[in-house]
Amino acid sequence: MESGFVALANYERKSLGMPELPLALVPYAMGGIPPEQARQLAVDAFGKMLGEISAALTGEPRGSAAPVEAKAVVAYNATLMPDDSSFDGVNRLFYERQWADGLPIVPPTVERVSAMLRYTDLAPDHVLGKMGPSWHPTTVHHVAVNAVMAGCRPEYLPVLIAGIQAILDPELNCYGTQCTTNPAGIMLLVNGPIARELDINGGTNLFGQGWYANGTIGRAVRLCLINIGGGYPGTSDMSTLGSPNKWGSCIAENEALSPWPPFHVDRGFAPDTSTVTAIATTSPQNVTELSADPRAILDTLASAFLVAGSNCTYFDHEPMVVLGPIQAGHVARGGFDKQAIQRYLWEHGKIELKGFSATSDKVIRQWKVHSIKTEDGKEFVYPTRRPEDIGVIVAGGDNGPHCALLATFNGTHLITRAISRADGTPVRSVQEFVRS
Amino acid sequence: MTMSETRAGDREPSQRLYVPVPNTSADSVQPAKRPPSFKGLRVGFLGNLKSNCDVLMHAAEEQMLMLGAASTLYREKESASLGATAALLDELAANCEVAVVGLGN
Repeated sequence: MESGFVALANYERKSLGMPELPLALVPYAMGGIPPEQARQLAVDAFGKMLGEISAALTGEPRGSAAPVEAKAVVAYNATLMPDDSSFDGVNRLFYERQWADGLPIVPPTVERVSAMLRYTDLAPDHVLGKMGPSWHPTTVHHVAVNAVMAGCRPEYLPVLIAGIQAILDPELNCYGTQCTTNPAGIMLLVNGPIARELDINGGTNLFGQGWYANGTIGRAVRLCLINIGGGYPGTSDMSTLGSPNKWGSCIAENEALSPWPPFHVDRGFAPDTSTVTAIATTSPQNVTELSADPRAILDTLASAFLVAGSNCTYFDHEPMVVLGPIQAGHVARGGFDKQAIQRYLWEHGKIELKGFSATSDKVIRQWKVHSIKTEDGKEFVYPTRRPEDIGVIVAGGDNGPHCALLATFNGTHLITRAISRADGTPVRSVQEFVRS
Repeated sequence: MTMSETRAGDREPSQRLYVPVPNTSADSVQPAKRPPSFKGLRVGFLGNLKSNCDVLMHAAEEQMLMLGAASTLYREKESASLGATAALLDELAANCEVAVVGLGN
């Protein structure tokens, strides 16, 4: 372990119930240097670490006499009364306690949280799963509290709960996304009638400002990742640069202007079922092609995957392509359906595995091993393992030649969950929760 | 700033706020009893696929053998960004008395 990760190691060993787990600090930065140089450093480093390693492996561990403790009772409804209950006072308190994201929060009063909880038939203490790296139980109550803080309207809670359920699917790799040095955050995509009911923007400027649902639902996800999952920048969130997407984002697909079935139908859901898809991604990478030629549009998109330095170049993942409505129309008129788009992007997105630095070459061979194929004696890297691993949606305004690529994090999948009742029955409207 | 903490069900205050962080603590895990020395032991190494982690750990393997370890077992995670699989951890646990795990870059 290098010195930059001491805080994360300390946080993780405490979260995992092993605060005394021994650590040995590598005294040099070993990454990215030639292997021969690294080996020389490694031998020297081992000499300096020998005492720590030996003590760790053979010394009697501290705390060994302590009995294994039963899990503490979840105080899911703990409250506080600030001495200064003004808006400024509450915000100062929440900021000092690292409960906020850097913007003012709406005070999560008992009344506001109760109003939020009307929009679910799950019990407040229902645990949706454990969120890393804190591995705290994610209760419905805590999701509601963080939704209030983000400014969500009560009727947004069903979307947020489905989103958190998707995020907690191990296949999304929330834990890795939280702790990585990569700038990835988690975006939600909402499909189906509830996206329209809640006015979740899938049109003009969908990744930008201007829509209350997009802004507050996305922000609520980030607050959950901080307060429930323990993603604290510099301690357990190791992102070197971060990204605007890490403030939180929520979008809809522009189903009305799509020439094809929407994303959730691709995933096997009924058209009138509403779903939320979690996407562990960096900020959108805009891809502009001024030609109306369908193949030119797809060629430009395909060449955007494996560009130098992109997540797609290194990672084994499921990226998402966002086609603007105008570009989607051109591509559809060229006879492409979504499967044909996936196949075309996959085949034309490959690049020859050569010309990388020695370090990157080795990493690509290790991390992206399942996307490397040898053809006619040459090695090629494909964007993904399979064509169907590329997600395709239509979104944005009907006004420009723009598409986007969501270059997701390593080891992530696109995870979709239906907005449902506690028994798993999908709801057609969020108002069903308050009628019953 | 001072404050008082209460639980739901207490007397309703004028401005009672919920705490957004779950109030739980992790299960305390009892560390395994350590051997008095690693001489004669089987030492496991779990690489995390970060750049030169394998070089560092292979060098450590050689040094541990020179210092008396009976054998070493080096394994790597399947992905740098995912935790080790249960099968991998079980293999290390079954074949090693102690293990070293790589973390970070």
